[in-house]
Amino acid sequence: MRYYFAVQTYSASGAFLTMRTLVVLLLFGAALTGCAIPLSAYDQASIDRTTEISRSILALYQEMMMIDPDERADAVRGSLRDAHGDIETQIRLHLLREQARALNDEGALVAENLLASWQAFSMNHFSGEETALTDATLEIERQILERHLRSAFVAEESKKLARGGTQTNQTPE
Amino acid sequence: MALDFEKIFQAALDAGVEAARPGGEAAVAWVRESAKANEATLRSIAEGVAKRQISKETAEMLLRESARALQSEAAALSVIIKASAQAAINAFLNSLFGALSSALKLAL
Repeated sequence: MRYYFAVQTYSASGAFLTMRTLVVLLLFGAALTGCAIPLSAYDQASIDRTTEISRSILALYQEMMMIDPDERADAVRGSLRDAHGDIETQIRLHLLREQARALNDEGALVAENLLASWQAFSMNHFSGEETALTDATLEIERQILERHLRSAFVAEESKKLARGGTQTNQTPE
Repeated sequence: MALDFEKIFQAALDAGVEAARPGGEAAVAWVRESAKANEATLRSIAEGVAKRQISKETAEMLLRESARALQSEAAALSVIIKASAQAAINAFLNSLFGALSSALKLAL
């Protein structure tokens, strides 16, 4: 009788242990699922703002480079002055929106860098420095701004990967 | 109840590795693209200075801003890596707990 009872207990505890292991593992998994990597969700509005900024920047550089190099300084102080101000406003607004998004340190950093570079270039355009508006300088400035903008697009599009999506390196239209 | 933990974990690991693959490829492609862009900028600055199209002052400013662009590219790389890690974790856990939930239902 005692022997029979012992076998029953052993057998029951074996099954109990297996089930307990499963339940513990499931609870552990549920806890792990809650511990996500800090990364904001994909935001189409961020892509749209970056596209608009890209359009404005590329259009301004295109316009500056169409103007005779000797007349660029006057154009910057005249007809192109507002465009410089508008672009800074667009970037500042974008930065504010990126900073307001939770878990978006990288997006905010790229926007801060874009603003800092834009301010440096804008200041350069109005500086009156001899080589501030040459073809070479403008081409390099545009390259650098494109690198910031591409980084913004890639950073946002890559967030789709977290959900098992595919990344598309969207470029400005 | 027979429960093959080894098989379940291997399947979960495979799912995680598979989910991380697109992110890994995207990260490698981005590092290459970023390196090429940086090289092109530095080359252009050097050429501009050599042709006297860019002054020393302007060159210094452009170099500073090129370094800043590299920071932005590093931030984008960080997002790619985080997103692929998240995809791998999701796939791993989904596979693992899908199998364990089925086993638990059978046990009950």
